[in-house]
Amino acid sequence: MIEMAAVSFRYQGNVAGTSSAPAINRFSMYIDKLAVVRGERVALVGPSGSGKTTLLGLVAGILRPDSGTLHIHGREISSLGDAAVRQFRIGHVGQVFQSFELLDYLSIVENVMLPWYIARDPSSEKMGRQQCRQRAHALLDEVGLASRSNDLPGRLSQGEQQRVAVCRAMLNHPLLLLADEPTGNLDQANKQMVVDLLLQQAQQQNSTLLMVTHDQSLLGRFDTVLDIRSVSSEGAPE
Amino acid sequence: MSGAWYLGWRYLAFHKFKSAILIASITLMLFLPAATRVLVSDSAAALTARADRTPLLFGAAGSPLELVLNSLYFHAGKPSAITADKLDQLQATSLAKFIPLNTHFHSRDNPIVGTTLEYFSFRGLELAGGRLMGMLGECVLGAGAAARQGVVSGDYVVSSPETVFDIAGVYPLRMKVAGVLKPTGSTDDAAVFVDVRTTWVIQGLGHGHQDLAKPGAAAGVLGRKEGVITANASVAQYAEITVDNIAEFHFHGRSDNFPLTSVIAVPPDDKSATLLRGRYQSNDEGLQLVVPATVLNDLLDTVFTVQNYVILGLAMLGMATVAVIVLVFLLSQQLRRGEFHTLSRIGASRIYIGLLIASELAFVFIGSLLLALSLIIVMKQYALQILQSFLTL
Repeated sequence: MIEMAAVSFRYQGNVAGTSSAPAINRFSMYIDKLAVVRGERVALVGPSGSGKTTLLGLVAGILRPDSGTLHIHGREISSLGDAAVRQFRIGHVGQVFQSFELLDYLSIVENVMLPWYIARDPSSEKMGRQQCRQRAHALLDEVGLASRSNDLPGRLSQGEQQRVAVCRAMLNHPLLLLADEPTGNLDQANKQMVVDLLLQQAQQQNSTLLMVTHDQSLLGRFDTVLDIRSVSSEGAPE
Repeated sequence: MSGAWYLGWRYLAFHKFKSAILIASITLMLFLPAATRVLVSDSAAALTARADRTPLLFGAAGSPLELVLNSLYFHAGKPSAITADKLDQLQATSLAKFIPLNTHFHSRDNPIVGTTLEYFSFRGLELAGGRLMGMLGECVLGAGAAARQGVVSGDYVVSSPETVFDIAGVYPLRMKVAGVLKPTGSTDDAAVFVDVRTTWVIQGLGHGHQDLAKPGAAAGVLGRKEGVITANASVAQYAEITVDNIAEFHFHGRSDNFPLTSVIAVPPDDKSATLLRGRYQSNDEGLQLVVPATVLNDLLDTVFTVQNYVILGLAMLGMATVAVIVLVFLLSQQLRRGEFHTLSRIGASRIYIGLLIASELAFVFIGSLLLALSLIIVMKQYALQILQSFLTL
């Protein structure tokens, strides 16, 4: 499902949306070979700064490798143009972020529909607004938030916000579910709930789950635990 | 609505207060110069139209502008009066139709305009109900005055005392409303028209009381000597002129000396107008002849100059407002970097994010433009009322 071969990457200048710390701007990594099969649920571990988030960025197509090949579901992502990569990402990749990143001015259900609002254009539209709303409601129902669908994110607890973020990631039935420390800002009870949700959703959709975590207590629940240092030969800042 | 437009709309709706301030600022920036221009041009058109329809105006020597504003727009300023014998002198020339005006008094906020029946045909005023005044003490109301005082034909209006401190002053005169005019959109709408002699009664130059020669008034008679009857204050004065008591109304003094504010002259042709202007070009009898359109144009030249300065000032203020709005907007974009980064990571292109920002700007500017246009339309509806309220100050 995910196949990486001889992928090298080096940050060029500042990274949009991140701090421009010199360390990250000098970071580089090389992955000789990485393969994850479809439906596999992988916990990605490793020390801070070892390239876990970079790997997720490469797989999501947010970052482009300097060399090597990256196939996802048999499709060569690294050779696609920007627009095609974006379309691929919206259509097939669901992402969950550590700080939830819900838009405060959209209601819960609209936040879940966000990928649809972004992707929406007559040529690529897979489902209509009504269908999309129904799908969003169904997802919110599964996570116990259907009754809050018209609330704004600010009225939800952090655990609830992360559940909404998971729903957003699942909207388009993704092939790939990428989660970057999704439990990092949550208490123990919410951690378990969010991990349960991710694993359950990935299994239901037969999505490949790649989740970055530092929490050792969660590792036993994944099919595979992948230490970034085992696949990346240059993982540390130069 | 495309996704970016919808998100833009939701962003503005969520930040209601910020959006409202932005829209209000831009609305004012658009509205104020346009409103100034519309108000001035509409007012100028209304003023000049009425002035153009008034060929010549006679009045006492003094400020031509005050004379024109008072005689044409019943402005509250009070120019010096001329005596009624001037009207007789003018009529003796036979060079024009002469219409006297006496605009000294008010009924509540409405000017009382003493004139003759010729004024109605001269201004093209038509009755909406009732009839024109047929006797002393009757009045005809403009549509606006009737509405404001809440009266119809057959009701009464009362003249207002000029000063409450003059205890020897004239009592208010109760006047029967003979008719109400159709609305014209001019200052005539606000007027209470009476016969010019009725204004002299209001002024106290004429009055009515019990006939002292009759036995019923004996209690008030102090003495009779050589045809002169002396009476005390118990003699009943009439505050209203009726068919029954009109015979007991009379004027004291010579009517030649009674006051008029002005006389409108309507010459039948250019030759008569030229002769009239030549004859009264430099009159040393305290009479001046003005062409209202010329006087108004002089005033409007000044108004337009002031208007240009006002608009220049507003334009500079507008530019400062735009600069502040741009600054606020740029700062807002800085604060939203995280949001844009999230959109980008999910799959939004730079064009999409640009469209989102553009949609927000478009909503704000279109909203402001529509609001400004609505305000201008509303203001245009009331431009003449605004003008009239300024004139009657």
